Amino acid sequence: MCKINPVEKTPLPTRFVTIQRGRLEVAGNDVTMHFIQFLVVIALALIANPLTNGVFFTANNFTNLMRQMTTTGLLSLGMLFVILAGGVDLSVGSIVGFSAIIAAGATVNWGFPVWVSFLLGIVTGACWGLISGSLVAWFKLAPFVVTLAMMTFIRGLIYVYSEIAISTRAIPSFTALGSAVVFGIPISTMIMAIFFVIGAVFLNRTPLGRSTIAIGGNRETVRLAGISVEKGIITTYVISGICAGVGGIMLASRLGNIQPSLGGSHELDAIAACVIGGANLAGGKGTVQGTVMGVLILAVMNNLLSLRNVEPYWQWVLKGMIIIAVVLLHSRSQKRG
Amino acid sequence: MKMNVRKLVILVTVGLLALGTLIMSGCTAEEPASTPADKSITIGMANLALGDYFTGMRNAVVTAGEDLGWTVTATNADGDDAKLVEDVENFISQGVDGIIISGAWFNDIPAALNAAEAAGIPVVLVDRMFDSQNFTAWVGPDNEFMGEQIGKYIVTQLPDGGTAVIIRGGPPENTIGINRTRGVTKALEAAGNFKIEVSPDFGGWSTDGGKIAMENMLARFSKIDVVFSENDSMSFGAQSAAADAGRSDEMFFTGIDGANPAILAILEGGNYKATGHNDANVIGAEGVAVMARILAGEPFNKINVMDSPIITIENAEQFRNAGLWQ
Repeated sequence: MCKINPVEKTPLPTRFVTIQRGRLEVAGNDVTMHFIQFLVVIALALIANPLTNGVFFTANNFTNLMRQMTTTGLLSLGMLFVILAGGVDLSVGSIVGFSAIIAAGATVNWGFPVWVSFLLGIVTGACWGLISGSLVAWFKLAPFVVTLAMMTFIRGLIYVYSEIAISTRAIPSFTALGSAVVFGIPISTMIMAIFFVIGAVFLNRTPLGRSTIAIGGNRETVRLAGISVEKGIITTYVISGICAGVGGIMLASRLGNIQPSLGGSHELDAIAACVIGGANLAGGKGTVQGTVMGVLILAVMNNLLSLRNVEPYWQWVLKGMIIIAVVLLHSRSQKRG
Repeated sequence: MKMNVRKLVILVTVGLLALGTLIMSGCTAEEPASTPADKSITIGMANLALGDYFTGMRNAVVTAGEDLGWTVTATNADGDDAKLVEDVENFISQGVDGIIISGAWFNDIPAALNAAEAAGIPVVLVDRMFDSQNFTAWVGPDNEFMGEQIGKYIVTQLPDGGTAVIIRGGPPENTIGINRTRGVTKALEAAGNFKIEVSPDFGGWSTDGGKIAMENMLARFSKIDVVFSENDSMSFGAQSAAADAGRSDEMFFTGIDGANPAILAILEGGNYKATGHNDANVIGAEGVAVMARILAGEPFNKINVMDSPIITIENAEQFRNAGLWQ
């Protein structure tokens, strides 16, 4: 049997930056979409400032903006891994709520030290990912159905654990993480950035990371190459669970009062950010850089529309339009490629 | 190249649509700023959610504020407290003079209050009081008292007691509903001759949700004497379910909010007999009035409980068209 290497290195082109047939390539990689996304962010920022009477480009607003994108950013990173391997994780919003309420409950009701509670929140997030991933990988169930079921299952458990909100506002060590700011940059955003760097390195530089992309591209090829597809798929859901767990803890720490409904529908923003960032829901396509751009576009858009006093309903309309436009663009460029 | 042109067309179209939407909606929301009256005062109103009652609250605050010449910016967090905190932070970035928060069913959102406190901006809560006490003032109803009044009315109508069904709105942590049900239960338990059956299904504060919850209760109990729903919308659903089952004459219905359709139903003299007058217009207007006193440096009360009279056939005429949505 012939062995096929699923991740072949593209030979370096003679020139580092090239523009061919309307495509912008850097070191042989097609970065046209990233360039367009970058332009969209810049354009949004440029129209934002005059539209908001100069409020957009203030240090205070930038701190807000960074803090506001943290949880969506983390969820999107985890979601990217799952999407790359050809899946989708609808349970992340519920995991955010679960990790948050368990961390708060462990601190307030069980008297655990804050760091242990946080760790507990992250570990439970990973466990939920492990369960979803195992069901998808070993039992060959559809990711949409499995994670939809997990979404309601976990949300139900949250309410079983606590019908009422748990307040942590009297525990400064619990709320420190979410509110601390260093040189205008929230600590939570720094943690998110570190996760993104680790995510990019893992995806591009490690065999397991590379195989994730290959699984979404062509599962059979990966199998023939002797790589465990199941292990790869489960890993992506565990990563998504960990990201959601960390996101939940950040949010819990920021809010200081944890409602059982926390995190509801956050999974949709995460999927939107991935899609805007160029990820293909069929799997195999998507990058960390693109997802960062997707998160940025969503965050800047929300911030801008909110500062501009645009009716929230229009914000939903716009978000829907942008997602469809981006998917259209991607489908065009993929057909061409 | 052909595809590139198409790509460009799509991009430009999206860009124009986006810009158009921005400008269009911006125009409708901002202009009062240029009125000469009191140009300098801007108020941000952060809403946890909108919907019949809370939309009424938003409209009341915006109208009352604009009557004073203020610019009022209203946001909708769609039930997400993290989004509400963002909205408050954005208000602070914009340098608003005061923030009004309608926290709907959440018991507390400390991050929002802390952010405003740190920025030195006064916060008036309307309808919903938070557990954190670092707000400047609160204006709202006493939900437990409203429930208790309804409960006492039921006792007067059914001196021999009976089976009372309660339909809750949910979610479980919603203390507005919890307090209303607590008030009714307190009065019925004090009477001592009522069997209280709480629907395990939440009605979601909507007519269809109330109807489904009631259908299940009708199937479980062969004799029901009275139904209390935590708001009027759900009680209408319950009323409709009883009618479908041919059991309208067996029981009567009560709710809270004082919605216009409920007031009209009470005036018709049918089986819809009582509602609590929870007036978003009064609460919203008073919230703005308290904010005006705070901004003017005049004395004000931190806690302002609004009167919430019960509406029955005895006094419904005076509330005709004074209730919430049509």
